[in-house]
Amino acid sequence: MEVAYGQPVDYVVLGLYFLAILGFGSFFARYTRTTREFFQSGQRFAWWILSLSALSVVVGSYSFVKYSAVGFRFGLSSTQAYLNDWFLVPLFALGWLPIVYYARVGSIPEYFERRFDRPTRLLGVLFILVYLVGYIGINLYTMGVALEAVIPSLTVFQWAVVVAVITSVYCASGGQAAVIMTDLIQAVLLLLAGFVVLLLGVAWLGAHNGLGLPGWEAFWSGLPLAHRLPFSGFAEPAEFPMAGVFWQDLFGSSMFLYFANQGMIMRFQAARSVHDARKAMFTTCLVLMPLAAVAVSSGGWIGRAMETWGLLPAGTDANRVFMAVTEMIALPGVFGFILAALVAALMSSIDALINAVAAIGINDLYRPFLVRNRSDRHYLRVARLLSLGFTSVGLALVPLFMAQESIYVAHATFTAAISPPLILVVVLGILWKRFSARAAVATLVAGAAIMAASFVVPDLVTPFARLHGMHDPDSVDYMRALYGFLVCGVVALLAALLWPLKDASRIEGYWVGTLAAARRAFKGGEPNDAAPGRRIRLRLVLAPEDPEVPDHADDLFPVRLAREDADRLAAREGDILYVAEDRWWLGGLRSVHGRLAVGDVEPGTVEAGARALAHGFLVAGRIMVVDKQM
Amino acid sequence: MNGLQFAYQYLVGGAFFLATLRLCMRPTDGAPLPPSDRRAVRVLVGGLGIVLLGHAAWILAVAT
Repeated sequence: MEVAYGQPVDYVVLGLYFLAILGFGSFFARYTRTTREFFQSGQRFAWWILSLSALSVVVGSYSFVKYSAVGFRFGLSSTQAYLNDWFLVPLFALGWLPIVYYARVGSIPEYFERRFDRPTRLLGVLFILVYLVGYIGINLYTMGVALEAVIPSLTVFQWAVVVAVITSVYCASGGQAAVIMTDLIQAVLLLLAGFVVLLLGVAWLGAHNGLGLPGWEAFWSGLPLAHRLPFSGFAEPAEFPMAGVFWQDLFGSSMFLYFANQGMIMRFQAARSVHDARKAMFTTCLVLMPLAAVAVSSGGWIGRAMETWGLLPAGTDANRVFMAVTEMIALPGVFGFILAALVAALMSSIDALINAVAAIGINDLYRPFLVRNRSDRHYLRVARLLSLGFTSVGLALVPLFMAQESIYVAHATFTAAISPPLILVVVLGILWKRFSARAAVATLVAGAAIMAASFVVPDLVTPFARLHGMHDPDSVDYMRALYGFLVCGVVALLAALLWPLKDASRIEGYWVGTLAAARRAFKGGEPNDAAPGRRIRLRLVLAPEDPEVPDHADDLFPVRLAREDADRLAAREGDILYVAEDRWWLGGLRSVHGRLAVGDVEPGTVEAGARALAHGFLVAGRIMVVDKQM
Repeated sequence: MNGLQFAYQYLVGGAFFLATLRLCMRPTDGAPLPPSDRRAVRVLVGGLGIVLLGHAAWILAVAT
């Protein structure tokens, strides 16, 4: 029997949320005038915006439903997938991030061409497009499932259509700026909602436990002892073994997210500097992920405590526990708010994917192969059309995914199947000079075949499960990532020994051993590392002359300071400066990068041309924060 | 009680963490690490300590 959750007022709140996010996202169309702004937002954003925005990519379409179900069945160990990403951060923050940022690569396949060769790029396009478009479909499907469970008056597919239309409209109009800014709102909303569920649930348990226990005591004592621990059993239960989660979530899903998910990488490339991108990554993994782990699981934990106290109907379906608990504890209107947060988690994953798939469509297919040498305005128009087109393709896949019996299995299987070879090529490309183009192609082709073979012959994975004491066939799938990394790793090693890279000079700046060269190429000169992080406040003045900036100058406009102000920054002629409005909450939305020219200007002012002001949405006469980047 | 899981996660994950940190820090083109990278390394190591101690404290709090 169909059960509708919530009251009409909740649906009004949800409808208002849809409209607000559509309007808010579309507003940022004015900040998108070039393809670089469409895909990378002109590399202008502050760390805190990107951190929250990255979180909303991590918290996906399935997170509230999936982790509440896991939390209901296995307790606080539902957090383990969110609390182990720190192991990946050194490779990301010190390796992958500076390489893609300094090289200003438009996509992962573009990196493949620069680091390896064109065939590797084309294989990368194939892999990543299949992943991204399929993932848009999975996300729309899971969104439809989640919303249909709450409001069954629309079908799964109809809900997917509603969300696809809203998301693709603001993505197509506002590009990366719209994605980042809407995701900022959505991240705050989803964290807030998760904690509202936890606090309301605890208060509700305090009022209804029947023994007069305070809320927190009723909550804690309502959880079985095994449910209070941070890890599930090592090899059991078969549906959630710690060792399996470790390999699948950390070395499968998370590694793919940070190293091969175009949407996530574009998020960090939108930072105003590598320093800010790193700060965003540190904050996401160390602060926001633990908060998100609580937010997405709390419905399940409260549900478990309710069940212990006999307050939840026996046999409640774990996949519906989030909705059941939320409706019980929330007042009308508040339930609508929590529902909007659920939708926020769903939409914020899809918008990043849409922008990412459009980036690959333009940067790796349309511009280099199909229609060359057209104006940037033309490519921007096509990027917008591709955003709509690829969303439609993803939507068309929804009926196919409806045939999958489990959301979790569908997502995990898909990710596990294609991620090891792709991740290995990225990681070995970053770390190992000897890893050549032929070795990369061999790893991608043979790796994909090896992964496909493991689905036809599941026994290939079984030894890795047995090694960890997992004997239940249900747990074997968890070890596919380990199988993939080891076997594909052997292929990569042999291929690199057989076909080593002969000329390392052409990969300068594209692997970790040459990051100094990458920084020099980014700046166009020797970086100035004196007194990093120093900032001064100056009044913006319009320069009387506005020299043309050549196309290859990468949006670095001439910016003039008085000698004494340059000295305060320990800056030299030619250094890269970042000039932003002195309103922190704009997060860099109104800002510009410039190249320092020390000259005859009034101390306490920063002088820039009309083009720089227009590019950065800056207004002469306002106070700016100026800092030296390198 | 969760001791095996804790050891497994921090031995395997920690080995990956330290190996990648070491590889990313090697100055093969002769230039020393820039100050921002040195600061990042300190945050990374400190962050690992926070996560490890957080998990350890959580297990001990439940176990005792």
